[in-house]
Formats: sequence, C-alpha cells, structure tokens
Amino acid sequence: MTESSLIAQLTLLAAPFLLTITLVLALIFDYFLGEPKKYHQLVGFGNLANLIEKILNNPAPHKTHFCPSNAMLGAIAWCVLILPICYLSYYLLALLPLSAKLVIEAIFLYLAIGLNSLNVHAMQVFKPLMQGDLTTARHYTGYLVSRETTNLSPEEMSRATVESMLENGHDAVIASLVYFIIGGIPLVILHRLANTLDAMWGYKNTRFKSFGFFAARADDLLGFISGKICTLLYALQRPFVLALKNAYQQGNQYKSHNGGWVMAAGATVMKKTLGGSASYHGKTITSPTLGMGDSIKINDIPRSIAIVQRAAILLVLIVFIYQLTSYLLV
Amino acid sequence: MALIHGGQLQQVAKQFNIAPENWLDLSTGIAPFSYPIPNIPEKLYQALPQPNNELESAAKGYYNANSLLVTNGSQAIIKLLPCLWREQNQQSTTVYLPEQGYKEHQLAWQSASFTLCWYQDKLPALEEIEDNSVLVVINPNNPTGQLFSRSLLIKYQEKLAKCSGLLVVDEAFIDVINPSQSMTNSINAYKNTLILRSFGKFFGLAGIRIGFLIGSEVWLENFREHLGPWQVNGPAQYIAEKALLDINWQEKQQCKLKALSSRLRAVLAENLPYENISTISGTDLFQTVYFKEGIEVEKYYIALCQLGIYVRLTDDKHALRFGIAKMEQLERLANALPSKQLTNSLITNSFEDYL
Repeated sequence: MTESSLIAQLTLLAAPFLLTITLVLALIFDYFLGEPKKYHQLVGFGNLANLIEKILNNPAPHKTHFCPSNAMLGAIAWCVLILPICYLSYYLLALLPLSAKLVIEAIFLYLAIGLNSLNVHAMQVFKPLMQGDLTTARHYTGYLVSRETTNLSPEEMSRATVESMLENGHDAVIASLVYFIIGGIPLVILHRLANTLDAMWGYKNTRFKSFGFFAARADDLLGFISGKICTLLYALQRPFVLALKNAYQQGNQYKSHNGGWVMAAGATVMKKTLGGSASYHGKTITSPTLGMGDSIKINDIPRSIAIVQRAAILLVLIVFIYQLTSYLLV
Repeated sequence: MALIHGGQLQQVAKQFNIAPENWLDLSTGIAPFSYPIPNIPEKLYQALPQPNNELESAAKGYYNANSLLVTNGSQAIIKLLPCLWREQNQQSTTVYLPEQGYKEHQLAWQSASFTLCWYQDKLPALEEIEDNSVLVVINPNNPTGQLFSRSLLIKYQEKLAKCSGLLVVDEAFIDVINPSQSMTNSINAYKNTLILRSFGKFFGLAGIRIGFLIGSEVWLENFREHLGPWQVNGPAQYIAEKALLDINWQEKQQCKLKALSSRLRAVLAENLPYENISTISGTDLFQTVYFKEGIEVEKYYIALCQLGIYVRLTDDKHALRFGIAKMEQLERLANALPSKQLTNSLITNSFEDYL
C-alpha cells in the first residue's frame, strides 16, 4: 500500500468523525497552548464597533425612556458589524479542502474557547487565598467581578470566583462548542461577536438603553439555547433531576435568566449555595439563593472548574457516541 | 427560620426568670392605651363574620380611601404579595427595600427569589429605578422614625407606573403623623400602588388582629380571592368600626401619645449616658436610641432585661427601641436607667457574667 493511499484510507475512516475530531483538537490546543493573543482580533473588532456606535447612536439626553428608532439603529449596527464577518468566514471555509478545513476549524474554535484561561483566572484567586494573601486575591477577584473587592472576605471571593466560573464556563466554553456543533465556525463567530457587543453595549444607562437593546436581546437569545444545553451538561454530573429542578425554579426568577440556570445547576451539583449579599458601588444587593447546601469555601474554586471541564468532555463524548451510532447503523 | 419580633414577653420572662407581671414591656410600637371595648352584641360571637358595610365605610372615612380590604393584619398580605405580583408581572426580579424596617417584607420577597436592593436613609435615585421593579417604603420607618413626604412618594409612584413597577407603602405607624403624609387617596390614578394600614398600633388593640389594605379594586379582588372568606372575626370588626368612627377618642389619643413620646424622649436623653448615644429618633409610637459605634448595645439590652425592662434590640444590634410608656412606667424607667448595673454594662463584661 502506498503512503498516499494510506492517508486516503485514514481520511475515509475519519470522515464520519470529523466533528468529534475537530472538537478534540480544539480542546487539546486550548489545553496545551492556553490563552492565545486572542484579544488582538477582538480589539480590532471592538474599535470598529466603537466607531460605528459613535456614528449611529443618537441617545436623547436626559431622557431615560425607550426610543424605538434608536433601538433600530442599534440593531442595524449589530447586523452590519457581525453578519458580513460570519458570511465571509462561511465563504472562505467552503473554498478549503477537507483536511485543511479540519485544522483551520479546530484553530478557530480554539481561539473562541477559553477553558484554559478560565482555569488561569480561577487559580490567580485560589492560590493567594490558600496562602492567606488576601490583597493579591482581591486584586485578581477584581478581574472577574464588576463590584469593588477591597473589603471582600475569603468566602466572598470564593463565591464570586465560583459564580464567575460556572457562568463563564457557559459563555466562554460550552456555548462556543455548542454553536460549533450546530453551525460550524460561522455560528461560533456570530456568538463570540454577539457576546462581545453585549459586553460593550448591553447597559441600561441613558447612552445604551435603546441602542444596546438589540445587542442585549440577541445575546440573551443565543445564550438561551446554549444555556439550556450547558445546564444539562452540568446536571448530568448529578444529582440530575434536582439540578434541573433548581435551574428551572431558581433560574427563572434570577436577574439574568441564562446565568441563573447554569449557576443553579452547577451549584446543585457542587451541593453548595450561591447568592447572598454583595456590595456594588456602595449599594448592598441580596441575590436569591441558587443551588442548595453549605455556602462556598475556598476549595470549591477548583471544584467549579472541574465541573466546566467535565461538561466540555461530556459534550464531546455525546457527539462521538452520536457519530459512532450513525456510522455503525448506516 | 422564624424572625424575632418585639412583644415576646413570655419567652423573655422565662429566659431571665422574672415573672411576666413584673416586667415593664416597652418592646413594641403599640400604643399603651387601648380603645375601650364597646358592648359587643352576642350574635357577633355566635354567627360567622359577614362582610360589614358599616366597617368599610367607617374605614374609608378614617383612611380617606375609596376602596379597601379589611384584613386580619398586614402579615398575610405581606406574605402573599410577592406571588400575586409575579403573576401580574413575570419580568419583575428586583425589589428595593429599606435596610432597617419590618423584616417580614424582606423575608417574603427573598423567599420568592426576588433580588433585593437595599437603601438606607434615602430612597434609591429615581433614574436608577429599574423597569418592572418593586419599591417598598415603610413610612414612617420603624425603628428609625424617618418620614418621607407625600410629594416625594408621588414622584416614585409616577415613575413606577411608567416602568410597570409596583409601589408598596407600609403605613403601620402613620396614624400619629401630622399633617398626614399618607398615600391612601392617591390610589385612583395609580393602579400599581398598595398601602398597608395597621389598626392595632394606634388604637392599642394589636390583639384583635385587624388591618386594612388600600389599593385598586383589581388588586383587592385578587387578594380577597386568595385569602378566602372569614378573615376577620365579627367582634374585631365591630370594635374597629366603633373606634374608626370615634374622632373624639382619636384626637385624645394623638394628644396623649404626643405628650408621652416627648416625655419618653426627655427621660431617655436625661438618663442615658449621653457620651455613648449618637441620636434618638422615632415617632409618637416609639423612640429609638442609636448608640455610638463600638458600644455593645446587646450588653446594655441584657442589663435592662435583668432589671425587668423589656425593649427592642434592633436587628443590626446598634440601637434600642423604646415603646411609649405611661406616666407611672416612665418613672420606673427614669429610675432604672441611671443605675450602676446599667451603666456598668457599657464597660464590664456583664454579658459573660450573665451566662
């Protein structure tokens, strides 16, 4: 058998499992290479978004009510920024031969997911906490939450970190994997950019209340689908029914629907309780309880990362089993 | 876990091993003079309570309201409200609550998984109020005594109406406020407002459990349906009807409470170690003493209990609330406050001694 025919044979054998292979490759890249300088491409996109927002956004000063025409402009800006990039990626990927496409797709997916970076951010808080270095821990907790961290206790920092891991485990890992499975790289890009625009425009202040409306809703909608799948993946780590029940009951009433669902499921799996009082810009806010059990301790931080990792592996396994079944049956 | 309120004399008496009749109980904001119980027709005991039009019209007159619901106190309403509100507005997740005040409000909203945003002396800024949110105001506040003007609350009422929110005003202690800042006659224009009025505090009849909910007819019907029939017993309805019509007695009661609350204030100001006190504030139904930071108020509270004086230690343990005392009770208080035992409690470890 010649070498080229061996490759051809292998390709033929691998063909039914392309999706699984791409997912595994992307996760392997993420594991070994870690966070890429991925903010480069997002910085360019961010500058472009700022420019377009400056041109199109026309908030009425001193008026806090909703303005439909400005919201429409926000929707147009969103489409102009995101859709051409998605289409371009779709067009270019279609030109590639199969084997190159696999590698390119794996690389793109790797750029979109941040499982390794999630772990790095959590450890930045966890390690100083274990050593009793509260100042450093507070500094890095500030990377994860929007509230001031100067007076946070170790328990409060642990809670903030675990909440951030469970929620970002969805936003930065599971959602990208899910959208890759559903629609390939174009949909991954759509989700990633929609997520970025929500972070830039999804505020309820005078400037963005109307203009950012579409960006916020679009992100909610995209997260709605992947959030439910992420909830399932967390819940599969058992207790399954209880985690789903809590996700439904507690998550539906939570301020952020998608965040509520995944955090409630994750906390239930950890047998812990999230929520409680926290200070945001001098104002105390008491969030409703998510999950059930004791309150969060320092060593729950690595446990929360493990839940996200297992969820990613479970998803790949499910895809593999599906592809294997269809390969054997067809 | 059940919340701890004032008025638990039996339990405290047992804890400190002093017979209940020997206590000076100032732990609640209930007037020390009760409306005299009229002769109650026997049939009111014998029959099931009927919807009472006379009581309703008496209440409408007293509360200056067009539509109201007779309740067996505010507690059941407070508990039921979050669920009924959610049925009306699924988008609602945020409740603004006073950091100090009747904790059953917090418990009810928290149990229903709402996100609670706390405010202190100032209401949250108008432009910060989120769409679909709920604002709970206790006016005047208990224990701080802080009073928000009617004109200010109307601004919030307008804002909340515009953004599909809900305004809840707990006016349990407002009967003693002159000129009245009550929102009861603002309901017509705004359906998204509920006002809780307490009967037992001003009329000194907390034991008969009767209160009033003032709101739009739709709200009242909704509560009526969920609470079921026979909420308030016949004799209580009869007593309340007479009391609400007795303007003469009400005026006298106001004068008495006003006089006694300023006496109480004076007694507290004169006899408490002033170097430890930051402010005294309240209404004509209670006076709250705020201690300076670093003072262990709980020790002082325990020392008072050991002398058979039962007051209310606030939930944050920074202050003591004194209910209105009658003249003869004031004397006992005035004698007790300067005693060695009490002043020492602020320095020594009497808490540990006690244990």
